[in-house]
Order: sequence, then structure tokens, then C-alpha cells
Amino acid sequence: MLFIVLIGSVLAITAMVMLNVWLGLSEPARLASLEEAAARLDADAVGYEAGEGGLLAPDGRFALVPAQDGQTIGLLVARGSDFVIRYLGTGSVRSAEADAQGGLLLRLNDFGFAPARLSFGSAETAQSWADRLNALKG
Amino acid sequence: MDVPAFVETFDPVYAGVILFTVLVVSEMVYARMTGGARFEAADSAASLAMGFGNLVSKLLFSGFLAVWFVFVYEHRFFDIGFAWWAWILAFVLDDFVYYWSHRFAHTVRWFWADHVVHHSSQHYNLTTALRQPWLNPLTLKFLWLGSALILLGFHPAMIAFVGSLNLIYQFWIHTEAIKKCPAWFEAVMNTPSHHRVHHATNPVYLDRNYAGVFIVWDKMFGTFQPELENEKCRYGIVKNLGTYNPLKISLHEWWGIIDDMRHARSLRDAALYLLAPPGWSPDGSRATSKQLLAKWQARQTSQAGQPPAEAAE
Repeated sequence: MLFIVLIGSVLAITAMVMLNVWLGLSEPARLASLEEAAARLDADAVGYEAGEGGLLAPDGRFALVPAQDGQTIGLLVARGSDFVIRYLGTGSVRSAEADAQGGLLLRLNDFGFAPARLSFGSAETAQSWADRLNALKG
Repeated sequence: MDVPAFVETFDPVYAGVILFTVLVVSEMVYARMTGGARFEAADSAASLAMGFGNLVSKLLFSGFLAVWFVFVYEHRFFDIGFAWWAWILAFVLDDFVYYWSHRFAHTVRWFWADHVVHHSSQHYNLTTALRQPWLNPLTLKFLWLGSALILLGFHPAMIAFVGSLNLIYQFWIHTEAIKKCPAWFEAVMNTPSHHRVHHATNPVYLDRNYAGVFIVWDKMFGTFQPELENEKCRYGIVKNLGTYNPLKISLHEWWGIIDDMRHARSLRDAALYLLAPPGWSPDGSRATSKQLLAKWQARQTSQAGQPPAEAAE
């Protein structure tokens, strides 16, 4: 009986995930503007004051929004149909590696945050943000 | 004392597996047809993997827990037996104990490390109901809250049975597909609307509606918050996970506690990292639910020049 329940559960899980994919239920999360990114950060932290010099990804899949006080960079990055938010301060960043295609691989000192590949569309912009983010290494 | 045969041969959760699958599939089809529910394949896969792991975990720990509960039952205060009224009483009292256990799970970080798994999806659908922890015995709550009714005199099999019924009840309330139930039902029972509030991270909704089956416990103990029309639920946890890895979902808060305690500057700080509410820190650099609510209320008041949206005390 126990064996049947376990095998049945695995089959049911597989079927449900396949159905989820087949039905096309999720849409990738996208930000429409930097203002939307700032508003989300503000609602999340209750009082995040966005400063100048933020950046919205060309495809709307992430945004980097420095705080007014210059101490923190608000990061929103899409994971599937949702955004994950982090407030990056000193010690938050493990590494930020820009590449020649305008991408950046961001790793945080955060057990619950898988490395994120951010596409800036320009190698110079990616390198410039990599430098800013690497300044936040612990 | 003879245990009724159906208690020994029938586990409602096993039967529930079939019911759960049918309802999840129905909700997915409903989402496709109406857009009235949200799904993400990776999120669903993670939730279902957590549910499967929870099942395996229960099987692995069940022998040890059974020995403990039999030991407690041998030292019971009363012989309550299996009369019909005992079943009803056990169901209600089990839900009462569930309320307090659940409340502690949100207000003591040690217990939150286990329960956070269930809240770690940004989606609110029937797969979220199955996103359950793998390491529940590490909270040691089975030693006291889990044993209270057995020590009183309820048979362990009866408590296990009504506990399963309680969990099955809670499955269907994890949905956005049902907006409101009839008023009398909303007044007494836990419903999708009440439980959406519980899963939301909007400051006004944090740490509210701990009920399992009967919402009256929240009304009695001051933790009830109705769903507000002008405050759409944002689901998940205050610091949402950026991963679908089941191992990380399972361990992230435990890891956070160990890391914080390792770097604590005093024994007191180390103890509070374990026992204080989630979000506590010695320097105030993080925020607890109460602190987030206070900030939100202050801002509502200053922005509108009016009292904040109605929030429960």
C-alpha cells in the first residue's frame, strides 16, 4: 500500500507539472518602467526612497534602483512570473561578472538566492554595473 | 481499549492524495479558462516536491513519534475513549491546539524555520497547500503541543485521525478561485478569503488568521483580519526566495538561524536569534511583522491625513 502511495504521488506530481506547462499558465514577469520598479520596492520595504541613476532591463526582467541615501541598491529580478527583491548593501554581493555580450552574472551572499544572469544589452553598461555591484562585496 | 478498525486501516491523507490531484487539475483548467488563478510551473513543481518530501519525512519519523505518543498515553490523566462525542471534542480541541501551534510557528523563529516552507511561494493556489516542511520534528513541538491532548486522555490514533481531517479541510482554502463564501460560513469557518490574508505579506495582513478550521479562534484571541477590498494580497514571505531548489526551500531559515547565532556577539543575542520573532536583530537592521505594520500605519496616516485602513488589533 505504502509503495503504491509513493509511486502514485510521483506520477501525480509529474502529471500536474506537465499539465501546468502544457496549459501555458504562467507569463514571464516584466516591469513596464523604472517608476513601477521603485513603487514595488517602496511597497515591499514600506518606505524605500529611490534615488537617481536606476536602470530598467531592456526586456523588463530586472531593475536596479539605487536608494536616495546612496547606501543601498534595490534589485528586482524576475523568477518566472514573479519578482524577487533584494536590497543590496555592503557585504551583500559575492561576485558580479560582466561578459562581452552585455550580460552580468550576479551572485549574492544569500542562501536563498540562486545566481542571476542579467542582460543589459550593452557590454559597457554591464561592466559599469558590475563595478558598482562589486563595490558592495563583503 | 479497542481502537475502532477504521482508524487503524484508513488514513484520510492517503485518500486525500487522489482528491488533491483532482482538485489541483481542476484549478489549473479553471485558471486556463478564466484567468482566475495564477500558476507557475517551476513554483508548482517545487511545491509538489515539498509535499512529497513531507510525506516521506512523515513515514521516516512516524515510528519514533508513535513510540513517544504511546508513552505519553500510558501516563494520561483521563480515559476518554472512542464515544461519538469524544470524536467531536477531539476535532475541536485539536483545532484549538493547532491555532496556538500555528501562532507560535509565526512568532518564534525556531518554529518559523519549519513553517516558513509553507509560506515561501509567491503563488496562492492548491499546490501551495502541499508545500510543506521536511523537518517538522526539529521544532520539538510534538513534545508539548503535539502531546497535550494525548496526555489529557485522547487516544493517539484518534488525534492522528482528526489531525488528518483538519489538514484535509485546510487544503481547499488555498485558492484565489473562490472569492467569498456565505456570510454565516465566513463568520465561523476558515475560508479562502481568510486564509489569503494569512499568506499575504502586506504589513496589514502579516501574522493574522492562524486558524485551521474554525476562524473563531482568531476572533477570540485578537488575531483576526478580514480581507480588504482596497488591499490586494501579495503572497510569499517578507524576503522572498530567489530559488526553486527544494533543498534550499527546506533549509534556508534553519541556515539563517545557524549563521546568525554563529556571528552573535553574546549568548543573549544568540538565544534571541532563535527564540525572538522572525525579523528580530540586535541592531534593529531588520524588521519584525509588528515593526513593519507600525511603519505602514504611520505612513498611511501621514499620507492621507486620515486613519489607516481598518486593521485588526
